[in-house]
Amino acid sequence: MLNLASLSLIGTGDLVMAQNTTALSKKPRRRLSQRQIEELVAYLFISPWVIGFLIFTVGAMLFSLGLSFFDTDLLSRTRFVGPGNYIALFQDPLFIKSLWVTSYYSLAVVPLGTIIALLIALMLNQKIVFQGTFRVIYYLPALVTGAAVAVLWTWVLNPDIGLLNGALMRLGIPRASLPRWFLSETWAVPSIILMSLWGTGANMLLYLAGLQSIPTQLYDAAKIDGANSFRLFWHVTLPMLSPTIFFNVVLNIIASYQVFTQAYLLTNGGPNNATLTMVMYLFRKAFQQFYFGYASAIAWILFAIILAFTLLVIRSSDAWVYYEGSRR
Amino acid sequence: MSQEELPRRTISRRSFLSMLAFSSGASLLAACGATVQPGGQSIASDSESSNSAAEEASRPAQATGPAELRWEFRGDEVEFERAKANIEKFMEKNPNIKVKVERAPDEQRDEKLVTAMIGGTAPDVFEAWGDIVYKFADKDQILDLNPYVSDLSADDLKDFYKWQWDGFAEFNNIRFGMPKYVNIMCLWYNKDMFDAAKVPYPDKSWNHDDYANAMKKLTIDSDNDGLPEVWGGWIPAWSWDRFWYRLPMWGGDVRDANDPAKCTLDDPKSQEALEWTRKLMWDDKVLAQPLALGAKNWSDAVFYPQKAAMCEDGTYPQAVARNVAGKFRWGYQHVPVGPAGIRKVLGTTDGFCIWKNTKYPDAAWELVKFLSGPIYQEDQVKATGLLPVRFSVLEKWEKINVEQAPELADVNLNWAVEALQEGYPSSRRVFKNQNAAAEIIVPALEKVYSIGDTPVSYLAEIAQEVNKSQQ
Repeated sequence: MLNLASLSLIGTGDLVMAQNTTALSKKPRRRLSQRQIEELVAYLFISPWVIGFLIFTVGAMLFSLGLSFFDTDLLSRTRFVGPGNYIALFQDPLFIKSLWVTSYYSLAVVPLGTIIALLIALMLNQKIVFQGTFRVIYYLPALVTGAAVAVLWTWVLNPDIGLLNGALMRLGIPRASLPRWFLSETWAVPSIILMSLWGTGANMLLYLAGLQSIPTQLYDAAKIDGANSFRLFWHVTLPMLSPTIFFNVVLNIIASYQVFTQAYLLTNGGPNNATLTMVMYLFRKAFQQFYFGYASAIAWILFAIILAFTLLVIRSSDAWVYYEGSRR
Repeated sequence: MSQEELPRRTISRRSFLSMLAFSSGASLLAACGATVQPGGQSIASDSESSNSAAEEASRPAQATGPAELRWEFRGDEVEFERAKANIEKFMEKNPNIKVKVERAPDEQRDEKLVTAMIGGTAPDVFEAWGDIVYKFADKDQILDLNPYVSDLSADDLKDFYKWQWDGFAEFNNIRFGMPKYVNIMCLWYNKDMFDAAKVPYPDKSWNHDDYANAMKKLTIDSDNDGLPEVWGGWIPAWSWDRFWYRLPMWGGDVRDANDPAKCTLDDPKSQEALEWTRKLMWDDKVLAQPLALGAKNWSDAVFYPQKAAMCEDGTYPQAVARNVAGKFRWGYQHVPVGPAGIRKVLGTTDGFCIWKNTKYPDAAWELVKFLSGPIYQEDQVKATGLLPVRFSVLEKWEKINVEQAPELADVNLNWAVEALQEGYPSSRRVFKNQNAAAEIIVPALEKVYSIGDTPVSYLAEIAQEVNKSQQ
């Protein structure tokens, strides 16, 4: 291993191991090539992140993996239970419910988020007046923090004085028939989905960037061949945008399974556990009930689910993702 | 989780952490290992640690030299500055004790406190109350103050409210703290709305029939759509710490008085009490239905905007006066007496606790004794208007509050003095396994009161489930 204190730069970047002046006088100087120097500098620059990653991410993950085989509160009780936590989880109706709630949310928010963000990007890619203003407006929600979004949506979806129910009443829906949103077992998860879709501006921005990088000659050539708008979209836009869609879908799957803030701030998992997401349940078990081993097992099951879905999407990508220049 | 079925193999905390550290890679966890070191006590099972806590009757030894304490303070910025000024006085009188006052985080304070306990960095003195303290007491993180309170004179002990003093000794046979303040539930009412509806103001003689009749007269639903513009009343029946006290007023209870593992929500008297609230809320539609879930769904959302004529909530006279800001006239009254001739409300056990792993238990005891003492208590009343924990300061409570906010002369602050003298408030009964009980009861309360599509008999059905969870 190189001792950094003993490195010295000579001339225009030649690095010399100056471990010992006496030794230097006896042994030929070992010079590092320009490539080795660049590699070394690169490692030096990324080393703070790598060290942080190894300790605070990989280390914490391995620690939680170990914890998942114990029944422990980390304070007064520690018992090795082997796979006991994992077995108990699948007999726990609340965990099953949290799995269902999270999957429902994820299966709705990933495709809907993808379609809506793509539609907005397509609209904002048109040459219209105030194009820049619209782009800013659609992107703004993505800049608002989760807590602020939650507060905002409590007013929008308030069953009594909320904006949405007010609008529905104006459309002639009787007050007594209006959804009670977060206060309804049926509507609580759709309320959170609605909130999440409002913040789809970040995805929209990526699609917009993807749309603008599609070479215009492809559209010109298709038009000469007689393609209409739909065919242009289907045969040019979608294939050329598929790497961006792939990237967004993978990120959205990962984020959607980790949904927590909305449920924590707005409903605390209620009513009647209707919004009890997996991370919410993990949080309760760990920090409110002190079952740290059990909570770690939930974390690892969540990790396995996310990994499985991500691998599924990656494996399927050969069939639907087109990279420019690649052959099918 | 069926913990009982899992194989038992108790290992020491130190070996457990070492094994995990080893399995995670010694080099990676070298940094983490240093933080996971809460004082080096040996690990025992739950029951073992509880027993050891109960058996311990002597004071732990204190580190030598001047004591340096950390006190985690809960309150706003103004109260925080005031607390620091008080601590200066304390340090002048106790030159060997240095106290650093730290403001508690506004969010997830309990969770952060747990993390600090695990990491061995919890403050020496922090605040807890009946609803949360069992979590720490169960984990043997709270210093038992029983060996310390013998310092207090008989006159001093008489100065505290007996029901609250007893409430501090309800968990694991330990005394978990010294009282900080007391919050007792009462009726807030909007005098302007009562005048407009020509309904006499509530008085101490009201029973629950008077209460329900007044709600019906005060409710305004001009378009008859079943969702009033003004509700007659607001009671947080869906809330874990507020729903229970109506049950004793009917002669029922949440839990058997002698058996902490037996849920009595299926008792016919408990059922009647639960139904009284549900009917007014969902059939008669005169008691406010929840408008949101979680923290947003509180009296602020209905009382200050004048969407409810009455509210059952705690005693925060200065805060209410600030929020009402002269927009309407209002008053306090006792919560009406129940059909069983009993008046019962939640009275909190908010207190100052000492972390068991403090290096300076004796110094921490001096601090909590000061904080529960008359000097700090009187200043706390001036700063917050909250009810003090001593009769000697309670005598001045009304006067101090009126000096701070003159409009409070018109709200009948005397009800609180009467309530504390009569001693009818009490802390809630705690189940043997409180977490397991709450995990079943809270969603059931939401189903009955927040969603409103379920009869109260559902709460009777879940009583058996609660009993099973306590085994």
